[in-house]
Amino acid sequence: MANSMAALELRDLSFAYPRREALLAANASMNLTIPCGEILALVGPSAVGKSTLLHLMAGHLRPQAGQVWRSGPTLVIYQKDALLPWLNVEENLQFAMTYALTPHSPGEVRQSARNALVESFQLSPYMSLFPRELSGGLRQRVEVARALLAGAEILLMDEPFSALDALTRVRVRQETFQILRRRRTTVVLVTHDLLEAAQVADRVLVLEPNPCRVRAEVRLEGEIPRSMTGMEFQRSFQELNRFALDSVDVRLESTR
Amino acid sequence: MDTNFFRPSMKLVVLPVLSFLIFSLAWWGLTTGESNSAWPSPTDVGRALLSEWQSERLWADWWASMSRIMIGAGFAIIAGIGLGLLFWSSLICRLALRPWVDFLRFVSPISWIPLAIMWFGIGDLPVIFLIFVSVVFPMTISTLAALENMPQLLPRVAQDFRLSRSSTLLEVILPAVWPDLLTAIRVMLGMAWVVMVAAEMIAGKQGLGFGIHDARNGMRIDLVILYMLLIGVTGWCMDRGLRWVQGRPRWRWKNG
Repeated sequence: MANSMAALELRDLSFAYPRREALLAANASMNLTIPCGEILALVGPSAVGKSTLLHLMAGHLRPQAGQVWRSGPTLVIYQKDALLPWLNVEENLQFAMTYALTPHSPGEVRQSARNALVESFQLSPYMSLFPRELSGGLRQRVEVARALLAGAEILLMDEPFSALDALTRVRVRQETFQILRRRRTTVVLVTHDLLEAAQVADRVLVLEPNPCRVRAEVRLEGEIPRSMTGMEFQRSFQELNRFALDSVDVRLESTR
Repeated sequence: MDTNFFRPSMKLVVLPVLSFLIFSLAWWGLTTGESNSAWPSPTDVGRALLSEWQSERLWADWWASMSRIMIGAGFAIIAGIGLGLLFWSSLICRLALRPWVDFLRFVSPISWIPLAIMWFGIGDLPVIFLIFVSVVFPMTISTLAALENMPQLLPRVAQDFRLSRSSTLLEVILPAVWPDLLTAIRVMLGMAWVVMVAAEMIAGKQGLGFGIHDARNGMRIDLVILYMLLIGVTGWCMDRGLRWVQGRPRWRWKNG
Protein backbone atom coordinates (compact mmCIF):
# COMPACT_ATOMS: atom_id res chain seq x y z
CA MET A 1 0.00 0.00 0.00
CA ALA A 2 1.43 3.33 -1.00
CA ASN A 3 2.13 6.06 1.51
CA SER A 4 -0.44 8.82 1.00
CA MET A 5 2.29 11.50 1.14
CA ALA A 6 4.54 9.64 -1.29
CA ALA A 7 5.00 10.75 -4.88
CA LEU A 8 6.95 7.66 -5.87
CA GLU A 9 7.52 4.32 -4.19
CA LEU A 10 9.69 1.38 -5.13
CA ARG A 11 8.77 -1.85 -3.35
CA ASP A 12 11.07 -4.92 -3.31
CA LEU A 13 12.32 -4.05 -6.78
CA SER A 14 14.68 -6.45 -8.53
CA PHE A 15 15.85 -6.29 -12.10
CA ALA A 16 18.41 -7.85 -14.47
CA TYR A 17 19.09 -7.19 -18.15
CA PRO A 18 18.80 -10.39 -20.23
CA ARG A 19 21.89 -12.65 -19.92
CA ARG A 20 23.55 -10.23 -17.49
CA GLU A 21 24.20 -10.27 -13.76
CA ALA A 22 21.32 -8.82 -11.73
CA LEU A 23 21.53 -5.06 -11.41
CA LEU A 24 19.03 -5.03 -8.59
CA ALA A 25 19.27 -8.42 -6.91
CA ALA A 26 16.30 -10.18 -5.34
CA ASN A 27 18.21 -10.63 -2.05
CA ALA A 28 19.07 -6.92 -1.98
CA SER A 29 15.95 -5.55 -3.62
CA MET A 30 15.40 -1.82 -3.77
CA ASN A 31 12.90 -0.10 -1.48
CA LEU A 32 12.49 3.60 -1.72
CA THR A 33 9.87 6.20 -0.86
CA ILE A 34 10.05 9.69 -2.31
CA PRO A 35 7.69 12.15 -0.64
CA CYS A 36 5.72 14.69 -2.69
CA GLY A 37 7.80 17.75 -3.51
CA GLU A 38 11.14 16.19 -2.59
CA ILE A 39 14.19 16.62 -4.79
CA LEU A 40 16.15 13.39 -4.57
CA ALA A 41 19.57 12.99 -6.16
CA LEU A 42 21.02 9.60 -7.09
CA VAL A 43 24.82 9.64 -7.27
CA GLY A 44 27.36 6.91 -7.74
CA PRO A 45 30.02 5.70 -10.15
CA SER A 46 29.35 4.94 -13.82
CA ALA A 47 27.34 1.80 -14.62
CA VAL A 48 26.14 1.50 -11.03
CA GLY A 49 22.54 1.40 -12.30
CA LYS A 50 21.37 4.98 -11.70
CA SER A 51 19.84 5.41 -15.15
CA THR A 52 18.33 1.91 -15.06
CA LEU A 53 16.67 2.80 -11.78
CA LEU A 54 15.30 5.95 -13.40
CA HIS A 55 13.92 3.99 -16.37
CA LEU A 56 12.28 1.54 -13.96
CA MET A 57 10.68 4.51 -12.18
CA ALA A 58 9.49 5.88 -15.55
CA GLY A 59 8.02 2.53 -16.56
CA HIS A 60 10.34 2.15 -19.56
CA LEU A 61 11.68 -1.07 -18.04
CA ARG A 62 9.67 -3.77 -16.32
CA PRO A 63 11.09 -5.12 -13.04
CA GLN A 64 11.50 -8.87 -12.56
CA ALA A 65 9.88 -8.53 -9.17
CA GLY A 66 8.43 -5.81 -6.99
CA GLN A 67 6.54 -2.75 -8.07
CA VAL A 68 6.82 0.93 -8.83
CA TRP A 69 4.02 3.20 -7.69
CA ARG A 70 3.65 6.76 -8.97
CA SER A 71 1.17 9.21 -7.49
CA GLY A 72 0.85 11.36 -10.61
CA PRO A 73 1.94 12.09 -14.17
CA THR A 74 5.65 11.50 -14.68
CA LEU A 75 8.01 12.64 -17.42
CA VAL A 76 11.70 12.07 -18.06
CA ILE A 77 14.17 14.84 -18.88
CA TYR A 78 17.03 13.25 -20.76
CA GLN A 79 20.73 14.10 -20.97
CA LYS A 80 20.29 14.90 -24.65
CA ASP A 81 17.35 17.19 -25.21
CA ALA A 82 14.27 15.47 -26.56
CA LEU A 83 12.44 18.41 -28.10
CA LEU A 84 10.75 17.65 -31.42
CA PRO A 85 13.27 19.24 -33.80
CA TRP A 86 10.77 20.06 -36.55
CA LEU A 87 8.62 22.13 -34.18
CA ASN A 88 9.59 25.57 -32.94
CA VAL A 89 9.49 26.45 -29.23
CA GLU A 90 5.87 27.63 -29.44
CA GLU A 91 4.82 24.41 -31.21
CA ASN A 92 6.76 22.20 -28.78
CA LEU A 93 4.85 23.82 -25.93
CA GLN A 94 1.62 23.43 -27.90
CA PHE A 95 2.45 19.72 -28.27
CA ALA A 96 2.58 19.44 -24.46
CA MET A 97 -0.81 21.16 -24.20
CA THR A 98 -2.38 18.94 -26.86
CA TYR A 99 -1.03 15.74 -25.29
CA ALA A 100 -1.28 16.86 -21.65
CA LEU A 101 -0.90 14.03 -19.15
CA THR A 102 -3.64 15.42 -16.91
CA PRO A 103 -7.30 15.76 -17.86
CA HIS A 104 -7.80 18.79 -20.10
CA SER A 105 -8.50 21.97 -18.19
CA PRO A 106 -10.39 24.86 -19.85
CA GLY A 107 -8.54 26.65 -22.64
CA GLU A 108 -7.99 29.88 -20.68
CA VAL A 109 -6.48 27.99 -17.73
CA ARG A 110 -4.07 26.14 -20.02
CA GLN A 111 -3.16 29.35 -21.78
CA SER A 112 -2.43 31.17 -18.54
CA ALA A 113 -0.33 28.19 -17.33
CA ARG A 114 1.60 28.39 -20.58
CA ASN A 115 2.11 32.14 -20.23
CA ALA A 116 3.32 31.74 -16.65
CA LEU A 117 5.86 29.08 -17.66
CA VAL A 118 7.07 31.10 -20.64
CA GLU A 119 7.64 34.00 -18.28
CA SER A 120 9.31 31.90 -15.55
CA PHE A 121 11.72 30.31 -18.02
CA GLN A 122 12.15 33.60 -19.93
CA LEU A 123 11.29 32.00 -23.26
CA SER A 124 9.35 34.86 -24.91
CA PRO A 125 12.15 35.98 -27.27
CA TYR A 126 12.69 32.44 -28.55
CA MET A 127 9.16 31.22 -29.29
CA SER A 128 9.57 31.18 -33.08
CA LEU A 129 12.98 29.50 -33.05
CA PHE A 130 13.61 25.82 -33.77
CA PRO A 131 15.55 23.70 -31.25
CA ARG A 132 18.70 23.64 -33.42
CA GLU A 133 18.74 27.45 -33.26
CA LEU A 134 18.81 27.44 -29.43
CA SER A 135 21.75 27.00 -27.07
CA GLY A 136 21.97 23.78 -25.04
CA GLY A 137 20.86 25.61 -21.89
CA LEU A 138 17.81 27.09 -23.58
CA ARG A 139 16.84 23.72 -25.01
CA GLN A 140 16.87 22.19 -21.54
CA ARG A 141 14.78 25.09 -20.20
CA VAL A 142 12.21 24.55 -22.97
CA GLU A 143 12.14 20.84 -22.26
CA VAL A 144 11.48 21.32 -18.54
CA ALA A 145 8.80 23.94 -19.38
CA ARG A 146 7.21 21.46 -21.81
CA ALA A 147 7.12 18.74 -19.15
CA LEU A 148 5.54 21.05 -16.58
CA LEU A 149 3.03 22.34 -19.11
CA ALA A 150 2.03 18.75 -19.88
CA GLY A 151 1.12 18.45 -16.21
CA ALA A 152 4.04 16.33 -14.99
CA GLU A 153 4.07 16.22 -11.20
CA ILE A 154 7.15 14.01 -11.04
CA LEU A 155 10.25 14.75 -13.11
CA LEU A 156 12.88 12.09 -13.60
CA MET A 157 16.03 13.87 -14.73
CA ASP A 158 18.85 11.81 -16.23
CA GLU A 159 21.98 13.97 -16.04
CA PRO A 160 20.04 16.80 -17.67
CA PHE A 161 22.82 19.38 -17.56
CA SER A 162 25.85 17.25 -18.31
CA ALA A 163 26.00 18.30 -21.98
CA LEU A 164 26.25 21.99 -21.03
CA ASP A 165 29.46 23.91 -20.46
CA ALA A 166 30.37 24.55 -16.81
CA LEU A 167 29.16 28.16 -16.59
CA THR A 168 25.88 27.56 -18.41
CA ARG A 169 25.30 24.47 -16.31
CA VAL A 170 25.47 26.41 -13.04
CA ARG A 171 23.11 29.09 -14.32
CA VAL A 172 20.52 26.80 -15.93
CA ARG A 173 20.56 24.50 -12.89
CA GLN A 174 20.01 27.46 -10.56
CA GLU A 175 17.09 28.83 -12.59
CA THR A 176 15.46 25.46 -13.25
CA PHE A 177 15.52 24.26 -9.66
CA GLN A 178 14.30 27.60 -8.36
CA ILE A 179 11.17 27.12 -10.48
CA LEU A 180 10.80 23.42 -9.64
CA ARG A 181 11.04 24.11 -5.93
CA ARG A 182 8.55 26.98 -6.16
CA ARG A 183 6.09 24.63 -7.89
CA ARG A 184 6.81 21.82 -5.37
CA THR A 185 7.55 19.42 -8.21
CA THR A 186 8.91 16.04 -7.14
CA VAL A 187 12.27 15.42 -8.82
CA VAL A 188 14.58 12.44 -9.05
CA LEU A 189 17.91 13.67 -10.38
CA VAL A 190 20.55 11.27 -11.63
CA THR A 191 23.93 12.96 -11.63
CA HIS A 192 27.67 12.36 -11.54
CA ASP A 193 28.21 15.84 -10.23
CA LEU A 194 28.38 15.98 -6.43
CA LEU A 195 28.31 19.78 -6.49
CA GLU A 196 25.05 19.61 -8.42
CA ALA A 197 23.55 17.15 -5.92
CA ALA A 198 24.71 19.26 -2.97
CA GLN A 199 23.25 22.40 -4.50
CA VAL A 200 19.76 21.23 -5.42
CA ALA A 201 18.79 18.05 -3.52
CA ASP A 202 16.85 17.60 -0.29
CA ARG A 203 18.26 14.10 -0.04
CA VAL A 204 21.11 12.33 -1.80
CA LEU A 205 21.40 8.57 -2.21
CA VAL A 206 24.93 7.34 -2.85
CA LEU A 207 24.66 4.08 -4.77
CA GLU A 208 27.18 1.26 -4.90
CA PRO A 209 27.37 -1.42 -7.55
CA ASN A 210 27.10 -5.24 -7.95
CA PRO A 211 24.27 -5.30 -7.16
CA CYS A 212 23.06 -1.71 -7.08
CA ARG A 213 22.12 -0.64 -3.55
CA VAL A 214 22.08 2.43 -1.38
CA ARG A 215 25.41 2.84 0.39
CA ALA A 216 24.58 6.08 2.12
CA GLU A 217 21.72 8.49 2.48
CA VAL A 218 22.57 12.13 3.10
CA ARG A 219 19.89 14.65 4.04
CA LEU A 220 20.77 18.23 3.27
CA GLU A 221 19.34 21.34 4.91
CA GLY A 222 18.73 24.81 3.59
CA GLU A 223 16.82 26.56 0.87
CA ILE A 224 17.06 25.15 -2.66
CA PRO A 225 18.98 25.97 -4.77
CA ARG A 226 21.71 26.44 -2.15
CA SER A 227 24.30 29.11 -2.40
CA MET A 228 27.58 27.42 -3.27
CA THR A 229 29.54 29.74 -1.00
CA GLY A 230 27.59 29.06 2.23
CA MET A 231 29.10 27.07 5.13
CA GLU A 232 26.14 24.66 5.12
CA PHE A 233 26.72 23.84 1.47
CA GLN A 234 30.41 23.27 2.10
CA ARG A 235 29.66 20.86 4.97
CA SER A 236 27.08 18.92 2.91
CA PHE A 237 29.44 18.72 -0.03
CA GLN A 238 32.29 17.36 2.15
CA GLU A 239 30.02 14.70 3.59
CA LEU A 240 28.74 13.69 0.17
CA ASN A 241 32.24 13.57 -1.19
CA ARG A 242 33.34 11.15 1.54
CA PHE A 243 30.49 8.70 0.86
CA ALA A 244 30.92 8.94 -2.89
CA LEU A 245 34.63 8.19 -2.68
CA ASP A 246 33.85 5.15 -0.51
CA SER A 247 31.43 4.00 -3.19
CA VAL A 248 34.11 4.28 -5.88
CA ASP A 249 36.45 2.23 -3.64
CA VAL A 250 33.82 -0.49 -3.41
CA ARG A 251 33.57 -0.54 -7.18
CA LEU A 252 37.31 -0.80 -7.65
CA GLU A 253 37.47 -3.70 -5.18
CA SER A 254 34.58 -5.52 -6.84
CA THR A 255 36.14 -5.31 -10.30
CA ARG A 256 39.54 -6.63 -9.20
CA MET B 1 37.69 45.74 -59.11
CA ASP B 2 34.05 44.92 -58.45
CA THR B 3 33.89 42.08 -55.97
CA ASN B 4 30.09 41.51 -56.31
CA PHE B 5 30.69 38.64 -58.69
CA PHE B 6 32.53 36.71 -56.00
CA ARG B 7 29.64 36.82 -53.55
CA PRO B 8 28.14 33.33 -53.07
CA SER B 9 24.64 34.55 -54.07
CA MET B 10 25.99 35.98 -57.35
CA LYS B 11 27.86 32.78 -58.11
CA LEU B 12 24.65 30.80 -57.62
CA VAL B 13 22.98 32.75 -60.44
CA VAL B 14 25.83 33.78 -62.70
CA LEU B 15 27.71 30.48 -62.99
CA PRO B 16 24.76 28.31 -64.12
CA VAL B 17 23.64 31.01 -66.61
CA LEU B 18 27.19 31.36 -67.91
CA SER B 19 27.62 27.60 -68.39
CA PHE B 20 24.22 27.45 -70.14
CA LEU B 21 25.27 30.24 -72.53
CA ILE B 22 28.62 28.59 -73.29
CA PHE B 23 26.91 25.24 -73.94
CA SER B 24 24.28 26.87 -76.22
CA LEU B 25 26.96 28.77 -78.17
CA ALA B 26 29.04 25.61 -78.58
CA TRP B 27 25.95 23.72 -79.79
CA TRP B 28 25.18 26.56 -82.19
CA GLY B 29 28.72 26.74 -83.48
CA LEU B 30 28.93 22.98 -84.06
CA THR B 31 25.57 22.60 -85.83
CA THR B 32 25.05 25.75 -87.98
CA GLY B 33 26.57 26.09 -91.39
CA GLU B 34 25.49 22.96 -93.15
CA SER B 35 22.07 21.38 -92.88
CA ASN B 36 22.22 17.98 -91.20
CA SER B 37 19.12 16.29 -89.78
CA ALA B 38 21.24 14.10 -87.44
CA TRP B 39 22.72 17.22 -85.77
CA PRO B 40 19.90 19.76 -85.44
CA SER B 41 20.81 23.28 -84.34
CA PRO B 42 19.15 25.15 -81.47
CA THR B 43 17.11 27.03 -84.12
CA ASP B 44 15.78 23.72 -85.50
CA VAL B 45 14.78 22.62 -82.02
CA GLY B 46 13.17 26.05 -81.39
CA ARG B 47 11.15 25.70 -84.60
CA ALA B 48 10.09 22.19 -83.59
CA LEU B 49 8.95 23.58 -80.23
CA LEU B 50 6.75 26.21 -81.93
CA SER B 51 5.13 23.72 -84.32
CA GLU B 52 4.56 21.09 -81.59
CA TRP B 53 3.18 23.76 -79.26
CA GLN B 54 0.56 24.67 -81.85
CA SER B 55 -0.35 21.04 -82.57
CA GLU B 56 -0.81 20.45 -78.81
CA ARG B 57 0.69 16.98 -79.11
CA LEU B 58 3.70 17.96 -77.03
CA TRP B 59 1.54 18.87 -74.03
CA ALA B 60 -0.64 15.80 -74.44
CA ASP B 61 2.53 13.67 -74.32
CA TRP B 62 3.89 15.69 -71.39
CA TRP B 63 0.66 15.35 -69.42
CA ALA B 64 0.43 11.60 -70.17
CA SER B 65 3.95 11.11 -68.74
CA MET B 66 3.35 13.40 -65.75
CA SER B 67 0.12 11.65 -64.77
CA ARG B 68 1.82 8.24 -65.04
CA ILE B 69 4.72 9.41 -62.88
CA MET B 70 2.40 10.91 -60.30
CA ILE B 71 0.20 7.81 -60.08
CA GLY B 72 2.96 5.17 -60.35
CA ALA B 73 5.56 6.87 -58.18
CA GLY B 74 2.92 8.23 -55.79
CA PHE B 75 1.49 4.79 -55.04
CA ALA B 76 4.97 3.25 -54.89
CA ILE B 77 6.19 5.88 -52.40
CA ILE B 78 3.15 5.34 -50.16
CA ALA B 79 3.50 1.54 -50.42
CA GLY B 80 7.28 1.71 -49.83
CA ILE B 81 6.81 3.86 -46.70
CA GLY B 82 4.11 1.47 -45.50
CA LEU B 83 6.29 -1.59 -46.06
CA GLY B 84 9.27 0.11 -44.41
CA LEU B 85 7.14 0.88 -41.34
CA LEU B 86 5.85 -2.69 -41.29
CA PHE B 87 9.39 -4.12 -41.40
CA TRP B 88 10.52 -1.71 -38.69
CA SER B 89 7.67 -2.50 -36.34
CA SER B 90 7.34 -6.26 -36.90
CA LEU B 91 10.29 -8.61 -36.73
CA ILE B 92 8.17 -11.46 -38.12
CA CYS B 93 7.21 -9.44 -41.21
CA ARG B 94 10.81 -8.29 -41.66
CA LEU B 95 12.18 -11.83 -41.49
CA ALA B 96 9.48 -13.18 -43.81
CA LEU B 97 9.36 -10.45 -46.45
CA ARG B 98 12.70 -8.61 -46.43
CA PRO B 99 14.44 -11.30 -48.59
CA TRP B 100 11.71 -10.83 -51.23
CA VAL B 101 12.19 -7.09 -51.29
CA ASP B 102 15.98 -7.49 -51.52
CA PHE B 103 15.56 -9.98 -54.35
CA LEU B 104 13.03 -7.91 -56.30
CA ARG B 105 14.95 -4.65 -56.04
CA PHE B 106 17.84 -6.25 -57.94
CA VAL B 107 15.54 -7.33 -60.78
CA SER B 108 15.84 -4.50 -63.32
CA PRO B 109 12.45 -2.79 -63.86
CA ILE B 110 13.11 -2.95 -67.61
CA SER B 111 13.06 -6.76 -67.43
CA TRP B 112 9.43 -6.55 -66.29
CA ILE B 113 8.41 -4.98 -69.65
CA PRO B 114 7.39 -8.25 -71.42
CA LEU B 115 5.30 -9.31 -68.43
CA ALA B 116 3.77 -5.84 -68.09
CA ILE B 117 2.68 -5.87 -71.75
CA MET B 118 1.27 -9.40 -71.43
CA TRP B 119 -0.64 -8.56 -68.26
CA PHE B 120 -1.79 -5.01 -69.03
CA GLY B 121 -1.46 -4.59 -72.82
CA ILE B 122 -0.25 -1.31 -74.29
CA GLY B 123 -1.09 2.09 -72.76
CA ASP B 124 -1.11 3.70 -69.31
CA LEU B 125 -1.30 0.63 -67.08
CA PRO B 126 1.93 -1.17 -68.04
CA VAL B 127 3.91 2.08 -67.73
CA ILE B 128 2.39 2.86 -64.33
CA PHE B 129 3.13 -0.72 -63.23
CA LEU B 130 6.77 -0.44 -64.34
CA ILE B 131 7.21 2.88 -62.54
CA PHE B 132 5.67 1.29 -59.45
CA VAL B 133 8.04 -1.73 -59.40
CA SER B 134 11.06 0.49 -60.03
CA VAL B 135 10.28 2.68 -56.99
CA VAL B 136 8.51 0.55 -54.39
CA PHE B 137 11.38 -1.78 -53.37
CA PRO B 138 14.18 0.82 -53.05
CA MET B 139 11.69 3.10 -51.25
CA THR B 140 10.99 0.31 -48.73
CA ILE B 141 14.69 -0.09 -47.99
CA SER B 142 15.21 3.68 -47.75
CA THR B 143 12.29 4.02 -45.34
CA LEU B 144 13.61 1.20 -43.17
CA ALA B 145 17.07 2.81 -43.11
CA ALA B 146 15.54 6.19 -42.18
CA LEU B 147 13.58 4.59 -39.34
CA GLU B 148 16.66 2.78 -38.05
CA ASN B 149 18.67 6.03 -38.12
CA MET B 150 15.95 8.07 -36.42
CA PRO B 151 17.01 9.71 -33.12
CA GLN B 152 15.94 7.00 -30.69
CA LEU B 153 14.80 9.48 -28.05
CA LEU B 154 11.89 10.61 -30.21
CA PRO B 155 9.76 7.43 -30.00
CA ARG B 156 10.56 7.47 -26.27
CA VAL B 157 9.07 10.98 -26.04
CA ALA B 158 5.89 9.70 -27.71
CA GLN B 159 5.80 6.88 -25.16
CA ASP B 160 6.36 9.31 -22.25
CA PHE B 161 3.50 11.52 -23.47
CA ARG B 162 1.33 8.38 -23.85
CA LEU B 163 0.52 9.07 -27.48
CA SER B 164 -1.75 6.58 -29.26
CA ARG B 165 -0.23 4.45 -32.04
CA SER B 166 -1.69 6.65 -34.77
CA SER B 167 -0.57 9.88 -33.06
CA THR B 168 2.91 8.42 -32.53
CA LEU B 169 3.09 7.64 -36.23
CA LEU B 170 1.69 10.94 -37.48
CA GLU B 171 3.09 13.35 -34.89
CA VAL B 172 6.49 11.82 -34.16
CA ILE B 173 7.69 8.96 -36.38
CA LEU B 174 6.84 10.31 -39.82
CA PRO B 175 8.07 13.87 -39.13
CA ALA B 176 11.25 12.38 -37.61
CA VAL B 177 12.08 10.47 -40.80
CA TRP B 178 10.66 13.01 -43.25
CA PRO B 179 14.03 14.69 -44.12
CA ASP B 180 15.50 11.27 -45.05
CA LEU B 181 12.33 10.31 -46.94
CA LEU B 182 12.52 13.53 -48.96
CA THR B 183 16.07 12.65 -50.05
CA ALA B 184 14.90 9.13 -50.96
CA ILE B 185 11.92 10.50 -52.91
CA ARG B 186 14.25 12.76 -54.92
CA VAL B 187 16.39 9.77 -55.88
CA MET B 188 13.32 7.61 -56.62
CA LEU B 189 11.78 10.23 -58.90
CA GLY B 190 14.98 10.32 -60.95
CA MET B 191 14.80 6.54 -61.28
CA ALA B 192 11.08 6.67 -62.14
CA TRP B 193 11.73 9.09 -65.03
CA VAL B 194 14.41 6.83 -66.50
CA VAL B 195 12.16 3.77 -66.34
CA MET B 196 9.11 5.65 -67.60
CA VAL B 197 10.83 6.85 -70.78
CA ALA B 198 12.07 3.33 -71.55
CA ALA B 199 8.66 1.82 -70.78
CA GLU B 200 6.78 4.35 -72.92
CA MET B 201 9.07 3.63 -75.86
CA ILE B 202 7.98 -0.01 -75.78
CA ALA B 203 4.62 -0.21 -74.04
CA GLY B 204 3.14 3.27 -74.50
CA LYS B 205 0.75 4.84 -76.99
CA GLN B 206 1.47 8.35 -75.79
CA GLY B 207 3.95 10.13 -73.55
CA LEU B 208 7.39 11.69 -73.77
CA GLY B 209 9.17 8.32 -74.20
CA PHE B 210 6.73 7.33 -76.93
CA GLY B 211 7.24 10.77 -78.51
CA ILE B 212 11.02 10.19 -78.69
CA HIS B 213 10.49 6.74 -80.20
CA ASP B 214 7.98 8.09 -82.73
CA ALA B 215 10.22 11.03 -83.69
CA ARG B 216 13.20 8.71 -84.21
CA ASN B 217 11.09 6.52 -86.51
CA GLY B 218 10.23 9.66 -88.50
CA MET B 219 13.92 10.77 -88.50
CA ARG B 220 12.92 13.94 -86.62
CA ILE B 221 16.04 14.31 -84.45
CA ASP B 222 15.05 17.92 -83.66
CA LEU B 223 11.93 16.51 -82.01
CA VAL B 224 13.96 13.85 -80.17
CA ILE B 225 16.13 16.61 -78.68
CA LEU B 226 13.07 18.73 -77.88
CA TYR B 227 11.48 15.83 -75.95
CA MET B 228 14.79 15.14 -74.20
CA LEU B 229 15.01 18.78 -73.15
CA LEU B 230 11.43 18.69 -71.89
CA ILE B 231 12.15 15.55 -69.82
CA GLY B 232 15.26 17.17 -68.35
CA VAL B 233 13.50 20.46 -67.53
CA THR B 234 10.47 18.72 -65.98
CA GLY B 235 12.67 16.44 -63.85
CA TRP B 236 14.79 19.42 -62.80
CA CYS B 237 11.68 21.41 -61.79
CA MET B 238 10.33 18.50 -59.72
CA ASP B 239 13.69 18.10 -58.01
CA ARG B 240 13.90 21.86 -57.30
CA GLY B 241 10.43 21.68 -55.74
CA LEU B 242 11.50 18.88 -53.43
CA ARG B 243 14.75 20.65 -52.60
CA TRP B 244 12.74 23.73 -51.71
CA VAL B 245 10.66 21.67 -49.26
CA GLN B 246 13.88 20.11 -47.87
CA GLY B 247 15.32 23.57 -47.34
CA ARG B 248 12.41 24.83 -45.19
CA PRO B 249 13.60 25.63 -41.63
CA ARG B 250 11.23 22.95 -40.26
CA TRP B 251 12.95 20.15 -42.19
CA ARG B 252 16.54 21.41 -42.08
CA TRP B 253 17.27 20.07 -38.58
CA LYS B 254 18.98 16.91 -39.82
CA ASN B 255 21.54 18.73 -41.94
CA GLY B 256 22.34 21.46 -39.43
